[in-house]
Amino acid sequence: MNNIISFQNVDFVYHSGTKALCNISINIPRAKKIALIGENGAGKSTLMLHLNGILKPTNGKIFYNSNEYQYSKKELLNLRKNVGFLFHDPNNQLIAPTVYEEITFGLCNISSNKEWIYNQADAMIDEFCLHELKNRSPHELSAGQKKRVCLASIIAMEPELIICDEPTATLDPKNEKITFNILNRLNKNGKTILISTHDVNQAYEWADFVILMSKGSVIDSGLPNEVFANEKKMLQAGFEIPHIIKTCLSLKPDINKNMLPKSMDELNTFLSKTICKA
Amino acid sequence: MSIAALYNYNHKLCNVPVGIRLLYFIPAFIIAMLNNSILFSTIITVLFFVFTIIFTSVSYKKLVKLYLIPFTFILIGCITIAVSFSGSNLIFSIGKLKIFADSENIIIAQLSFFRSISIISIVFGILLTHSISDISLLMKKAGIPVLFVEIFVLTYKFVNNLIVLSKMLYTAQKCRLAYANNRGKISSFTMLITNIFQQSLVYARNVETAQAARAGNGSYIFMKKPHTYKFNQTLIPLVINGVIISLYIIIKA
Ligand SMILES: Nc1ncnc2c1ncn2[C@@H]1O[C@H](COP(=O)(O)OP(=O)(O)O)[C@@H](O)[C@H]1O
Ligand SMILES: [Mg+2]
Repeated sequence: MNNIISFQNVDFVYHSGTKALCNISINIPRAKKIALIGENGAGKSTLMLHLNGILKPTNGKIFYNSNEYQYSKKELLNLRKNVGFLFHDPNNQLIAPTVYEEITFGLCNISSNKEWIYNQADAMIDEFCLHELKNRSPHELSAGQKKRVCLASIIAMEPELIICDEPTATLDPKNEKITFNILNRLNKNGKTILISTHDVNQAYEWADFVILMSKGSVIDSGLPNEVFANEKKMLQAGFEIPHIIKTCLSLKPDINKNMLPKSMDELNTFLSKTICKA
Repeated sequence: MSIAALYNYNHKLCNVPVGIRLLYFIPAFIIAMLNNSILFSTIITVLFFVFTIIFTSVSYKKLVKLYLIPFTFILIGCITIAVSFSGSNLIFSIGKLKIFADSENIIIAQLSFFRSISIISIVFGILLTHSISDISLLMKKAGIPVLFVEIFVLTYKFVNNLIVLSKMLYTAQKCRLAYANNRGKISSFTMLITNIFQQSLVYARNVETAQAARAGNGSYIFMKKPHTYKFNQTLIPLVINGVIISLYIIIKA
């Protein structure tokens, strides 16, 4: 069972009549770093909100570990325990009077074991370096700190799949790096990470698997070197291909896609090899 | 100057259990309510003013500013107690309007004034050493139904957001010269209000969604690690209160 979640012909129409998803069929592979790419309004957030049962498809089916989603209270609770959601705007998520209580909020919803709740919360305070902040009100923190608190409050619940809606949109480069380091560490421990973004360069270097969306449909999915090198589909979705691929293709148009360098370092090696040969 | 802006989350009592923290304030509070002496009220006011500065390390200038808000209201209130339109002791008259202030009334007004200020200084002491979550904990311990505690916490969160939102929208309007002329002022203000309303609704919906995503079920329970009680923590408040009570008895005698 290598897919954690599968969509089968999912449509979704908002009450206002906007058709946000049309006939989506994708598989989300387990224990991978997945990037969902699309322009503003492509339907990324809508798709992600389906994953933990906040939105229910108008048509079609969704499966979690091969079991079809049930929308009863009990099943939803079980689903949300396993699928964590980091919202785009931390202000929507932060609700408690202090950071510590923010972290215990989700835990109280899934367990009544006080000992476990305190242990989890303390572990998160350590892991996310929140000692300084734990007695502060979440409202008065900086954007980066707020993100970290939100992430901690979700990870505390030990979800198997972590969904992050544009996790770095409001962050500066340093906090962006911190956030990605956390996500990478979680992935090393076997968690599946799904992020939405419109930064193709970052997604190319980071992701193991890419889903490309445009106007409510998935137009391509697969390994980053394949999806991102497909200039036609990228243009259709409103993007340019990543700088690294562009550079390589301009030097060597017939390059095997599996040989494409994945990071800046690999690009340097590639360039020195190609240029020395020439 | 708001209390939230002055609140120092690392104040010196933050690791003291809430129950013990209250020991500093409650006995003094009760005595201050019963008290009939201006001298005693003044002592309490000064004492708790100094305490608040020591415990929370706020600057005294800011604290004085905070005091000025209730001070003004209390002053006006006490003046209305002191003066009346009839009596024996005329203080001034404008045409036919005669204003009297009998000595009896003046004494009551003075007393109320100093007593109120002393109570305010204790209340500010409490508010500046207790966070919203401490207060909600106290409410729970006092047996107030969970529903009200939740309302208290959420109101705080939403009011906070409302203030931030209004400020942001107002600034955004001003940047586009919305309040430059009188006609613009009215329409801009109407737009400001409608937008605050609309966006608050959207915000409330988003908050609900975000809580549902963390398996929330509409109830807002938060948990905080209980502080460990240590006997010697009760020593200082007991001594302080001992001093206050003896002072009260001495002054009364
Ligand atoms: N709450 C909503 N009600 C009605 N329409 C919505 C709502 N949220 C999003 N939409 C519409 O659904 C489409 C997809 O939006 P969204 O999933 O937010 O895109 P993305 O996250 O990729 O920017 C957009 O056309 C948007 O206007
Ligand atoms: Mg979005």
